[in-house]
Amino acid sequence: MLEPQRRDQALGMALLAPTVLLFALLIFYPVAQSLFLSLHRVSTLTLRTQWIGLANFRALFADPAFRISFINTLIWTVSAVSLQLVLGVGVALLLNGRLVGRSAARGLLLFPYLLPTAVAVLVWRWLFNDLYGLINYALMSIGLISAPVPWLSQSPNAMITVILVGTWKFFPFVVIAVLARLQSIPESLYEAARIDGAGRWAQFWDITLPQLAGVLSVVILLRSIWDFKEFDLIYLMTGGGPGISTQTLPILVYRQAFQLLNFGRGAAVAVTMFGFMLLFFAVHVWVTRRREVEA
Amino acid sequence: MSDLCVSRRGFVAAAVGALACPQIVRAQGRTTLRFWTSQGAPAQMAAWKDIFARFEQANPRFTVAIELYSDDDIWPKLTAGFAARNLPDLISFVQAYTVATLANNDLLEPFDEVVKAVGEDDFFPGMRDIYKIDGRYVAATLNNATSSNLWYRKDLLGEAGVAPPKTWDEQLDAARKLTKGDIYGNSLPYGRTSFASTMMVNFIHQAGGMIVNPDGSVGLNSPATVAALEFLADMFPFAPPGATNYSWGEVLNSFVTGRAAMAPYTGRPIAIVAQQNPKILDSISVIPYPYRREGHPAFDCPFNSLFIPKGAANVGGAKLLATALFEKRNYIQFLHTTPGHILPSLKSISTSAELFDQPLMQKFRPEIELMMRSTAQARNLVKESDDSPYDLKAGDIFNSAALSEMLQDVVVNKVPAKQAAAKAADKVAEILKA
Repeated sequence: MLEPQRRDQALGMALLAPTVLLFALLIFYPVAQSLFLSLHRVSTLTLRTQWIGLANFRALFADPAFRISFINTLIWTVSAVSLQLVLGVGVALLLNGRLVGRSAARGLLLFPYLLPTAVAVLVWRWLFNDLYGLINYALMSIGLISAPVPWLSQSPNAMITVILVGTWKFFPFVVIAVLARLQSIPESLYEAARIDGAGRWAQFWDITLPQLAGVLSVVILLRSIWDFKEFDLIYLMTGGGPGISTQTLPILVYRQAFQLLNFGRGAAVAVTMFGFMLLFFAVHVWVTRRREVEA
Repeated sequence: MSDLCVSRRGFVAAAVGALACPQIVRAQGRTTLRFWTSQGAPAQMAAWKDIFARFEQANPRFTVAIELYSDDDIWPKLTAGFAARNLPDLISFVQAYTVATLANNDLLEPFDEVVKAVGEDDFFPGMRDIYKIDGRYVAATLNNATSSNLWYRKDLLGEAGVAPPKTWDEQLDAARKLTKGDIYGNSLPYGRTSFASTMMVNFIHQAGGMIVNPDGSVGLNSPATVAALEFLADMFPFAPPGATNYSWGEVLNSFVTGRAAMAPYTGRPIAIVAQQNPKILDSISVIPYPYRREGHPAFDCPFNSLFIPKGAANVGGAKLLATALFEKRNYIQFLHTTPGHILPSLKSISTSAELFDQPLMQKFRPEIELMMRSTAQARNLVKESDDSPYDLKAGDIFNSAALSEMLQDVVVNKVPAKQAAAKAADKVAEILKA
């Protein structure tokens, strides 16, 4: 017969066990498996493995394509997240004001976010088409350009175009998050500021932005993680081309694993990406905690 | 309470029943054969269904389930299938490079029985032997196509006073003269795509070079490759502005919509122009793709394969089905779904009157016969010359995109052709060594 204290401990552990087990299965196993694969030469076809230590990582860091893909990933992530924030906050402020048809606008705004990526990409690729795209046609009709612009087949046009389409697709998420927070800022704060003679810009800078800091911090974290590992939009828009000018790390993972059939090398890229994301997360936590302590 | 118990049991029984369904089907003597194909256009699906209905009638033990894949997702699907041991019984239309990779990993069932049942001598020799490794067949060429053709607009060439080009010099001159207003002289795939890699193999062969020499050494870093790259760079200004991302669809579109005066392609433009831009149907024709004056004519084909993956559940049934696909009625019915695009691998079909018993096949008979002659002489990276051994690494070379990246280095990154060829040769050497 167990003592009551030991019995409570056993019960506690038994109650925790399913959570720990699920956590281990859903989080630790895939991470450990990726790490295991990255240290092996693995044929994607046969799944035969051979221990090669850090050779995949050494080959990766020596490969110019990895460096270019990493830089492309940073350019894409920083630019897309920044534009999404600017556009998202701007539109949220507009929708928070008195606007005719505000409810309809709020509904329509979600449209790009709800549209499946494959469909959105098809539409945009058609719009940007070099021979019969509507954008080139419109620009040529008004005399802004004399020949079609290769939007997706010349560098840096391709990266700029992908960033713009990515911004269009994902900025509604920022709007939703920011708008929800905007609606909960007490009106009394603005009234007091107006009495003290604060203009619109001062109100935004000294009231709205500090009130949004928390939600923006979470939005930046989430959007950065999602954009850092974005695959389908970029792959479907350009396939990583022209050359490898829009090839990001997730596309490199796909190429290594499913085109070059080198699963181990693909896992090494994925593990490296995971490391970068952990680093980013650590910085985010540190900044957030410091802000909380200062507050 | 008892109702609930029954309901749960009923639910479990239904679930188990659903899971066991394939076994029940087998127990009743009807086995489902899973057939993979990339050819799923409405007319092709209708033809498959017809063909399989006849097969099921003749072989009541089997039913056939069609599963579609696309050229872009064949590797993810295949690798997932092998990993999960959940494979189709018969796979069609996979290119020779992919078959080489599978053969290199011992992932194919022997196919000798099927080839012998169809008749070894009936295959065009090149199309039969492409899948013969160490005296054994690992697959069969179900049918074939070649993109080593140059489609051209007779009316536009006539207006520009240009004869259909036979050599690269003549083609460059024609492209220059034909590029006017919103018409581009020549559409070519400059993207990092499978079409660009396919065309690169052909251009290097036409220039008199090789990617891998018969002795197994890398032949890519050669004056022939440099000449091919320089020719393609010279042609680039006469291609549509988006050509650096072009693959199959874009090249075809540019020609079919009338925006390109010349373009390489299989026989597919015949049906597509007839459907989508019939006003230029009488103005299109095809010639063998021009070659380098110092080189020789060369043709590249995918050798659309038919094979059984190792681990397939019904090897015997798959062999029966494979043999049925070569039966004359089935074979010609399928070829007629895309007139002129897919060409026969069997001599008896190529000479049969029924093959041309279709309006577009009839109208374009000279062009189709020309393409059939080309495919009969065509080669592939897996066997670049008579003296070359079967290159089991051809798929790895092709999938690495080393060839299309070399082209992009020259056209997009403005790397000198010699340097780009040397870099690509190093990549190929690394693949051969691995």
